[in-house]
Amino acid sequence: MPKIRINLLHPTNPSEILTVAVPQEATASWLVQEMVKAGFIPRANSVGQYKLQDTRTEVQLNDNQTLASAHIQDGANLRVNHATSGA
Amino acid sequence: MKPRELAERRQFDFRVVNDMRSPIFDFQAFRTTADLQYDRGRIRRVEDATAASKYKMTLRVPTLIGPGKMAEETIFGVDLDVADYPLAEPATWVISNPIPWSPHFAEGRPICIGSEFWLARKGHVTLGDLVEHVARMLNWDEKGRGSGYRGWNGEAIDYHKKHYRGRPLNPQLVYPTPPPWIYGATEAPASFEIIVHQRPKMEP
Repeated sequence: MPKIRINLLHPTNPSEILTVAVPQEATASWLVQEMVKAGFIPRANSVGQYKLQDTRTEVQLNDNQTLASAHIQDGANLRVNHATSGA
Repeated sequence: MKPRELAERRQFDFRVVNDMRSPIFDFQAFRTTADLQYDRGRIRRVEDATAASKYKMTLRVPTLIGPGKMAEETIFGVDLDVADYPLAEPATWVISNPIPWSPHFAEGRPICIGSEFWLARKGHVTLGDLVEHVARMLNWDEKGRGSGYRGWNGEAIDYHKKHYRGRPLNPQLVYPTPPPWIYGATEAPASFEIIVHQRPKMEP
């Protein structure tokens, strides 16, 4: 399974960056889950969720979208955004 | 989409929801609206699912049906036989009564699933995702419509804000989710390999 290297930018402190090698088939929700496991970000609360956004294209990944399908390339910077919901 | 591709997509959708059956989710699939209406000719096998386009979905997710009133389950219909499916969202309607008391459900109207949920994903969304999405809406655990959203029932929104403070009706609910195989692998993704964790420098 081919891997790419991506940089994950912390939601509250963009100068904190986690550089990882992950399979291109990885989904956004899986990446968030792994970031939580790694202690990079806290678990989202019940009315919030994390979203990943490519800083180059500004494209935001859907939860179940893979890096490959979102055309995320090796070396990409993904901003981790924390969003809260309405009704 | 060519007829053969559409048949494969229908079979795929059936496989996805078939692998999601659980105590809180079940469904019946049919070829025609009349079959669904009269509960005849159910499609039970993946092999026969190329013609499955009408679904009767049952979600046993307790939901509000009025101020302080709950229903244990909601039954809704889904029709995949719409032009440009899966780029276009399937038709939906509530079958059970009473109708969920919510900004997203109204009698005689489609379920308001949100354009950002289906249309914006340009076909990269499955019938299983729709089931999970509706389950979340029934549990008032939907995300992303913004604080100004009123939908079809502003009164229900106000009630929910006051009595649940914007939280899901049941924060512990385990949702039916699409099976892992739809994400392209039969095994879990390989490990999350951390190369470097760059932290901001602390001031002395």
